Amino acid sequence: MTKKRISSDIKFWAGKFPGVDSGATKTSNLEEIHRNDWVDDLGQDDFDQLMIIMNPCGITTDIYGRRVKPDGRWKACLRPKR
Amino acid sequence: MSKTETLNHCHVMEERGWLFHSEDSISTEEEYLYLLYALIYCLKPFKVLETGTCYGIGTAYICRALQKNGFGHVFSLEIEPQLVKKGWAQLELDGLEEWADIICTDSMEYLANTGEQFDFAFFDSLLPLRTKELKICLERKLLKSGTIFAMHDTSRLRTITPGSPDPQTPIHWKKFEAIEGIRWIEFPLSRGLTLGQVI
Repeated sequence: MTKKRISSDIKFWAGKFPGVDSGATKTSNLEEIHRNDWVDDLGQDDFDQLMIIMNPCGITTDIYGRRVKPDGRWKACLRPKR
Repeated sequence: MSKTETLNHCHVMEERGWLFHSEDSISTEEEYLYLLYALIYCLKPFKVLETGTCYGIGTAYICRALQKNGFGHVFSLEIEPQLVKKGWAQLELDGLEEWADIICTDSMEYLANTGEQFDFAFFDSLLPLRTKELKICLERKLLKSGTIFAMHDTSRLRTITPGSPDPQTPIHWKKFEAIEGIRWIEFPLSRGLTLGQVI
């Protein structure tokens, strides 16, 4: 399973990844993360990639999961646990 | 993702709440969280006091700034056990647990007994408690001369239901203005924040 952290510098937008709509215009760095526990905690074992959006203070604000198979579409927003 | 503040909390026009952003009706507005982060980043405190962990969002911003400084620790006080759990979960999300202690305690009791001294304080518990917490910190010299503190929800125009002034606000300000040995400036917009310094 590949997990990606996407934050500042890379801008993506609604429409680029089907299924990602509002809130998908934030920016951040791209770096590998190895935090399997996050996936398990969120109960999202079936996602192939996670996209974690952090604000300029480095606080996670949104998490998106992507299932590469069968259609590579981004799933709905997974919120950080509250 | 934060919502427009006016979807979470009622405001009068002068507070310009529609220009602010917040996660929910309880957590501090994003704009003030950025300020809190910047204060910690600038003031380089070793020990930070936070009263009212709530969902741990403010705690996370404090921790991230401490992490960026490379040192420091926040002692965050929360009386509700369920909120303590949520606070820890928020810190775990960003891997910030080592920078904080979230202590399940009555803030007044803790402050009356602790031997810690703090280099920065963020008062964000129940509004009627905040001046009491500050007073006990001053009386017990938990905040030394020169120490800066922030207090949230200090808008003088605060409403808790649309159009109805919060009855706690004038009481809070009367008590706050009666405290000797501090100077302060007010950020009046949205729910408001007051920055103070111990003289």
